[in-house]
Amino acid sequence: MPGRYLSDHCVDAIPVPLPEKISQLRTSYIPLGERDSVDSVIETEASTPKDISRMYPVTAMGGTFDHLHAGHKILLSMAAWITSEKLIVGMTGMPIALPRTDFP
Amino acid sequence: MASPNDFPDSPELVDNALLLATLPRLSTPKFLAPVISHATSTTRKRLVIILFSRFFNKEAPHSHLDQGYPASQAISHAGSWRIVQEVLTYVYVQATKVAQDLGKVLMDIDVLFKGFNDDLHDTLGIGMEMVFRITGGGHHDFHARPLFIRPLCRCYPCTTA
Repeated sequence: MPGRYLSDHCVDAIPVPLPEKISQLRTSYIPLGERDSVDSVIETEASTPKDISRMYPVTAMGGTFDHLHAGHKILLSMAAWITSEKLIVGMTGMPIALPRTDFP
Repeated sequence: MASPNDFPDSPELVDNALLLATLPRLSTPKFLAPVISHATSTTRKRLVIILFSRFFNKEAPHSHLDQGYPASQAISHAGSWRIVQEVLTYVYVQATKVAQDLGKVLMDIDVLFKGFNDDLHDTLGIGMEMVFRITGGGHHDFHARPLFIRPLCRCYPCTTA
């Protein structure tokens, strides 16, 4: 079945080469509505190399992660975002992870 | 420019899918809400949302792509904590809300950030059945077009899925 062709200006251009396993997948193009309003834009400035280095070499965090949900993923992602060398994630084990039964 | 009517609704469900999009600015990506909703509705088990932006460029030259997208376009990681967290939270909340509204409470949703000077790992496509891309809206990042092909005019085939 012949495909329809769209000019380049209407497709979201991704400059990173897509791996073969992804480029061979079926593609569904989702039309976008209105662009985001100007009010919602927070301008950012390009940083200097010194700014980029504003990461922490080692970061530690912890949790029960039972079960793993979106909130945990946000926390883990943000920890990784500010870490340059090592991220230590402590996982709470038994018996702390067990449901508390001594509450009144 | 294509209109929404050119793209029929896709009631077909797939188990695992990717959603690829670029962020031209670092702000709450409200323009992605309908796209995230569509991709989440069409996917049963696992949806991986990959957001590309020059703001996420890596510091050290990571690949040959760094020649066109230098790390100097990136932002301070620690200094941008608040806005990056807002972007991440917005996307997760949009996808999770749609999934839960549809009763898919155990749907696995991941959001990844990728810079323009970063390679995309092949394993991201393993087990995936469909990739969602965006068209229209005029939100595109001019910087997202590789320098060596900017003067060229290209066409994309559009699937009917």
